[in-house]
Amino acid sequence: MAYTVTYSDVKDKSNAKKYTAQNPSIASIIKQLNDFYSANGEIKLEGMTNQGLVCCKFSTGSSGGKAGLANIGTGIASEYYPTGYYANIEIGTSKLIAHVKVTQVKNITISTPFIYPLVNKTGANWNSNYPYFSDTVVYSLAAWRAAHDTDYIVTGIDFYDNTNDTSISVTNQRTKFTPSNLIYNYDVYQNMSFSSVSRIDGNMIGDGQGDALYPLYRNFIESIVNNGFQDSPSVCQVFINSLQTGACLYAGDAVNTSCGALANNGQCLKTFISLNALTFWLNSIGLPFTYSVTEATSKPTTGFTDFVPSGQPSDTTGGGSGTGNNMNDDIIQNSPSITPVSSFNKCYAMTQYELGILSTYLWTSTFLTDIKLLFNNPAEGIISCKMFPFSLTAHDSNHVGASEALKIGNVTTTAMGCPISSGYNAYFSMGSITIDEYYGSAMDYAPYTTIQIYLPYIGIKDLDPAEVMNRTISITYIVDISTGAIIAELWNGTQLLYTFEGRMGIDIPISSTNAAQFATSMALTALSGASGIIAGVAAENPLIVAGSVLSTAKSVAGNQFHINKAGINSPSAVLYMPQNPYIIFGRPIQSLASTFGATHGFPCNVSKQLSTLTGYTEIESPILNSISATKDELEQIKNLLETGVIFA
Amino acid sequence: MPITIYNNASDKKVIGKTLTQVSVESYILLDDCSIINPQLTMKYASGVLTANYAYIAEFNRYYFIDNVTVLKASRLKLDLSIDVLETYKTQIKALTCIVKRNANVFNKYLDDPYFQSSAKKQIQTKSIASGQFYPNSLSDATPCFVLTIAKG
Repeated sequence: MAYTVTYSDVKDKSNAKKYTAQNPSIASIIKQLNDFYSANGEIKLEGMTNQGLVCCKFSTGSSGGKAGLANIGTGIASEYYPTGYYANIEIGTSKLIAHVKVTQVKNITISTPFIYPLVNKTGANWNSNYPYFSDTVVYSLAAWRAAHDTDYIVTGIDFYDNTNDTSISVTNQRTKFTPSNLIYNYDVYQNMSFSSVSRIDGNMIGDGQGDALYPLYRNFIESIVNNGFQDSPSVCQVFINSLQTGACLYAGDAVNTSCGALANNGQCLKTFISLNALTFWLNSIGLPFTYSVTEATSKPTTGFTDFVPSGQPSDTTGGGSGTGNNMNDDIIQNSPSITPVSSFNKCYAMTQYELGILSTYLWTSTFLTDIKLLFNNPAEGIISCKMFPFSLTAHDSNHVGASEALKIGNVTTTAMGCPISSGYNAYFSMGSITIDEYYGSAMDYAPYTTIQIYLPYIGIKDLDPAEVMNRTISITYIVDISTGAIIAELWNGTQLLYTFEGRMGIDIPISSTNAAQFATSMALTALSGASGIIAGVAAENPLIVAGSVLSTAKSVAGNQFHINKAGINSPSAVLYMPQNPYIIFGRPIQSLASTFGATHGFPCNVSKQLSTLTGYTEIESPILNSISATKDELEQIKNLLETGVIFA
Repeated sequence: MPITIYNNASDKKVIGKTLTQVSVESYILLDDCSIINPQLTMKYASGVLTANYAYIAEFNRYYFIDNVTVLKASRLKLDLSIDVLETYKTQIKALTCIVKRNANVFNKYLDDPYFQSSAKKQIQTKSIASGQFYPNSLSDATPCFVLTIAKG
């Protein structure tokens, strides 16, 4: 019987994204919701990896339906619940294995052998809002018994911790796991302990519809048995869905002797299911399970991947001689109280307007006369003039004094400047970025993925992906306002990972002499790294000198138009470049055949009992002394295991 | 001596092959031979011609049928080679070994020499907003110059 499922994201109710699918498996719905939330960065639900609940309502035909993803992890379910009736699928956790306890149905007593046909849409109890689910209708108790007397009831589910699967044995058994209330905040499941379920009916779980399997297939049950049917106290309704799952709603104690004293007017719901359908269901959900308590407690679970916490390697040992001490010492940023600023010299923060006034004043006869008393060259009174791409007073107003007349030597000029004191704050917080994995695999690291950082006034620098991946990198600039030099620090918390040097202060030529020095400075900057010239001159080797000059000239020409990844950019040119840092990821585009895993497998490197494996497998140097076979046979087995076998 | 003839629908590398029994025949060893690659004869049976797998209970071993030769007098000659994986399936599955590669249990952070990547590369840039430097917003009234002069 075909059915339609409509479900929606209700994170943002006003912009809920709806999905509709025909006959979807539960796994496909989970995947789609999972993909959606992963893409939107809100919730990451990876099948069995995280614990949580998917809430969705199944409906059939055109009656519609709504659904939402509810309470993944510790979220508040009610916030995500639109009005309506919802069904829930418990995902569980990947570190658990479920022991599903079943009992075969035999000789169920039903004192009111009236079965209401759901398909009778015109019947007295039909509510057009209820889903129309099945045309398989059982009209009599005899027919119902014939169809379901060999079905099963799930009488309980116990969960066992499965984090140490490979060493499970009769003497080293799994321990029972009791779900915490983090699994679900919704009142139905809060504080519920599966292991405490001792009877199959009653108000054990909630809503007056007790069943140990309730969290797992309530979605289906509520597709076929609606809340409204509970208002018919004298009927027992049996409906069959496409999975051949029977749901029977009894009314009153009399209809089922096992119900005992029931809450909610003696109403209860029992579900009957064939073992094949139950198995299908559990497999569809992806819950590792077994019907055998022996397997649940003491046997490795075939085909079940052990739970490995993210980032925690398993079966890995060290060299044996290390201290194992990986405690960090916090690296502390220094805050010097004395700096070179304003020692022998004096620094002023000036505007371009005031610089213009100073320029005019420098060539007045009064100034030239006065200054010559101290210096041979008037320009020697000015040590340097540099431009910075920020307001010096705005950055640290505490260490920039009030505007005053500029004094050069003993000459007071008409230009005004703000004196900068020694403690000027040279730190700039340049922001931070969290670098996340893209593939979640070795492809996120070298040599496949490259990570570079562009730093203003420094250039583009390489970062080691292994050092910055999954970390939040903070960038701090330290600016020496007296020389214009800068240092960029890359921090991971209190770990200083990288430092890069650069130059931010742009020299302003004051006079022709000063301009010549500026040009020299620029040339030296461009020639940084051109040590071949110096070496060639020292060796008096004209070939080396000529070659170096030529290559350096090309390099300088190239740097006029391109970002230099290794050196320092021309200071004035970088004013035109981006002023914020950014990260450049170079990621590989993996070519992965869909049958790659089945054909080659993936790297594994764990110790396992081979009976726990399925699919293509390669073994590292197998030891076969427990196999009683001839030498040639053992050699064949060894070769085959090493080159690859397939476990069915 | 009996030999059970099967059709094997699984790859030779599979441990736990899917076998469909064709028939049980009597055989005679052709000559002295190894149990690794025995040769035997049997009465002609049409089902054997399309079969590819056998079990010899006396040897307690499974075999691939490598070749079938039709002999005179309605007899067949079978060239067999042992399938050690199926023969020692139980003992092999009881082994605990270092699993180098597997289709379902894996560690994606281990480098894989089999991986291939395209010559193309995906480039992504992620900005880090700081706003500390703003040359575009400077004016002639912004104190952005540092003048260092000799102290008087």
